[in-house]
Amino acid sequence: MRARASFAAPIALLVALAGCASATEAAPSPHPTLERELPSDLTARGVLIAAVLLSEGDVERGVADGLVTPAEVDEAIRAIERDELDVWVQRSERELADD
Amino acid sequence: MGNRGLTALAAGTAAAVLVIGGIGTAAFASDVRTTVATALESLGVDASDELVDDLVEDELLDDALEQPDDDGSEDGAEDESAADDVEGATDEVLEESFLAWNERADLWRTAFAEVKTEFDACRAETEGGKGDCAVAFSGRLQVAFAETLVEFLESQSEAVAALPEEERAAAQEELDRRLEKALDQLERTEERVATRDAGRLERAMAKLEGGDEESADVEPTDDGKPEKAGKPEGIGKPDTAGKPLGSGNGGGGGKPDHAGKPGGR
Repeated sequence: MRARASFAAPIALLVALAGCASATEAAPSPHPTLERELPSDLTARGVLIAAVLLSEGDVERGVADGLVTPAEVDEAIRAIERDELDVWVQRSERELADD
Repeated sequence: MGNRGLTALAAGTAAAVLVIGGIGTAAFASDVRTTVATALESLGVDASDELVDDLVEDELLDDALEQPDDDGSEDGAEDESAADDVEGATDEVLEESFLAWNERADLWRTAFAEVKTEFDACRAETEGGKGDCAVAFSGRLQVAFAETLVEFLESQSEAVAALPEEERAAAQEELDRRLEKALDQLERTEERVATRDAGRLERAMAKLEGGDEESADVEPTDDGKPEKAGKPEGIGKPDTAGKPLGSGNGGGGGKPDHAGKPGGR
């Protein structure tokens, strides 16, 4: 009986470890947009402003005034089309918190 | 009414002006904030109050939030029907914006890249006065974009000439209207930038003549607005700092793989 009990403990430990491992694997990997290094003319904040201007303003005026760059407008359009604008919001929120 | 009465009246008027001005400014800021928050909501994203506050920080945003004249709305009846289907209206506006952007995106990218090359060269040559490069960059950018718009509109005459006769007159009239507006914008931009450059030069000369060490670190403030343009020096945020200093339009700089239509919405 004692031998059986001594077997059970390591097995339980292994099962628990495997559980932890699978839980780690199951965690979704962050969206690449959250991790990638952005070029100098692209910011998360700029992408959001560009998206707002595409929706509610004059994006070309925004570019001409230097509020947003062409790259940010391109990225905003891409994000809206792919329904990924929320990722840029996440990135902006994170950067704001880091400030 | 004696002198004391007049003084009291003047003070009261001044206070009222200040109060009304304050209220006006607050209402104005609130409008921009509401517009931005509503726009983000209509785009299906949920931004925190802090983020919205951060986005509306830039005064220039208010100007850019004015819809262009050619947004297609003609009268109140259309507005009412559009209000019935906000999401549909949003998609329609987005589609128009995407199409308008795609039509001229290459011109914008080229203009941006050209000015940015000058800015990079300026930064490379200048050790201390990087702020001057930034101010020059923002001015050049604005002029370059105003020129780009004029060139684009001028190039549309051929397209108008190719239209069927019954459509040609109206199209030409619209093109003329836009061109006039663009030329006016170019003129105003050139004047504004020239005035600002002259101010910078004057200050630089005064600095040289005076040899005032204290003024060495003072950034040109000019008219307060276009300094942020182009975000060359950033506004204190790590991401925006030195924005145009890198290698051109990397990443999003290429033509996006869309055909100008908002898909999936």
